[in-house]
Amino acid sequence: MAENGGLIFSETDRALIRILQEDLPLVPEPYAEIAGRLGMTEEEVLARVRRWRTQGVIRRFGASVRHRQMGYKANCMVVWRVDDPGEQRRLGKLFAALPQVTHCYLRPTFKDWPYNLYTMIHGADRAEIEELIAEMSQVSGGREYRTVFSIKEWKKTSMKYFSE
Amino acid sequence: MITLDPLDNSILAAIQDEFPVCRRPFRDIAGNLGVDEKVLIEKLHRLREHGVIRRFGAVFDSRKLGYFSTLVAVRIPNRDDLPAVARSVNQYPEVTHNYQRNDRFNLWFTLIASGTERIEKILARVAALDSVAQVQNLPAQELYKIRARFKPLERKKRED
Repeated sequence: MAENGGLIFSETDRALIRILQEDLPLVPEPYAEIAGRLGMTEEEVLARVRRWRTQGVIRRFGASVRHRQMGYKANCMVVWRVDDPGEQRRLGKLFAALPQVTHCYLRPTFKDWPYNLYTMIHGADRAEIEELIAEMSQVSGGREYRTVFSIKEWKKTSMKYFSE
Repeated sequence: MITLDPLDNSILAAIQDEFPVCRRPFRDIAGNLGVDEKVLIEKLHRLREHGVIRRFGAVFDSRKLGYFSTLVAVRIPNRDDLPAVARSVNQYPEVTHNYQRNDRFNLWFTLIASGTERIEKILARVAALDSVAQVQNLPAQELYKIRARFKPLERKKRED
């Protein structure tokens, strides 16, 4: 999906975005430091960051924690079969409201795979995850679902935009 | 693995929320937590060095930047072939997450690219690998929740 509403990013914008994708400098005036690197003023940097947040270009601004280190040892992808379009939205929003559900998307089905509502859930351990899935199943009215546990993380990085 | 003290947990809870965009953001957060700005910055350095904080800053919406993203499910019938396929997938900078899962579809990865042609090209290359039986492109049709936020778990002791 790419619907960016006609947003345009100048060379300066792109240079700033490249730097903002790195960690924010842990100094008292981080935006002044970034501005200094780009030959911009602190106000220019702040104004862009504020605008991008308002426009949703910056989806979130804060820390991403390594959830395993925070005590979340188990995660599971649970995929649900929801054929009715109205139900997809209703159930998608219900699942999304649960704090242990970190991602909730509708995706296409394919041959031998009738599941279309994807939920990613995280918990302290497998028992907690299983309890939550039972709860979600009840909320869903006993819909068909499939649990897909992760066995190994082969890669987890952040995308580097405008680096090409 | 480091032990998180109550202040660490408060800091982690505070900075996963919207971080202030102003000249002295750390001073604002420190003020809310009732600590010194310098103490907060030192704590953040430590949390980042020990990998508790994976990233700290802006998370961009790939679509708003004009990029395309998708989830890909891969079926590799012979489990022994999986590591080689996983490594082959990992080589693309556009692949941001790649997980082995306990399903017929045993490798799942996310892909963010500047155009759908590039996505098609990468998928075709993965599909062409001898050990790969099936590749499914599963772009999101609706997003109900996209934000991962983790509250510190305090009630359970960790062994490792």
